[in-house]
Amino acid sequence: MKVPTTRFGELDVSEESVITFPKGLYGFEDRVSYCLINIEEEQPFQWLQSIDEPSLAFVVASPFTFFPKYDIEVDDNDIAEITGGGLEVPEVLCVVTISKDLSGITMNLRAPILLFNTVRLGRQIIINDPKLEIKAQLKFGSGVQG
Amino acid sequence: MLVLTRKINESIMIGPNIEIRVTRIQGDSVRIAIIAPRDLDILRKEIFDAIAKENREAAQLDSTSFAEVLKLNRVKDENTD
Repeated sequence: MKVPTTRFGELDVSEESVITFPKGLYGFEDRVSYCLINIEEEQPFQWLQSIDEPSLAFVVASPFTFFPKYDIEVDDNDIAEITGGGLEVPEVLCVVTISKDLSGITMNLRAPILLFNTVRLGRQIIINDPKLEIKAQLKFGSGVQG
Repeated sequence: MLVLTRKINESIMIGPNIEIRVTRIQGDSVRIAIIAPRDLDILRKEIFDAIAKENREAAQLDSTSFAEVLKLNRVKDENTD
């Protein structure tokens, strides 16, 4: 299907690659259909593009790439509730943005997105751990943070 | 807005499945027990607001700015490593 977007023009998205977020994302509860866009030069980042709203897109990336010690625990009962029964191990992505002064890139470790790829369902959750930063600074190059 | 007065260990039902009970009052703090279905998201309002704000901010990001800042950061961090 053709998906108009303000950042990337018109995209051709297959039905199977649509990810449904039945509860939306926090602040965007009514936007439930998304697809992931890969831009080669921007790896390991991806864009999570809304299918219902051309101007809505988020940069996302795996938190484990930048914070190898990042660790979240999700209860099996919660996973079953999201997937409708199956205990699939989700892919974890976090929302990324740039700092106000345009100098750095930050990642929201407090509210990761869980992607259940076989059922094509997504859910943003909030981890009850104040130590997880909403604006965790990312480092690049060869060094990774602990 | 509906405002109700409750004593310790008294509850409020919101629909048939959600119970909110006052369990302790100490100074200006109230301890509240919530019994609700698992699929309901129960959050302190401050954290809900903070995450919604962060998402809204992230959604403002345009692709050109991100590409530029990413390039700058890669160069900067490679030089410092």
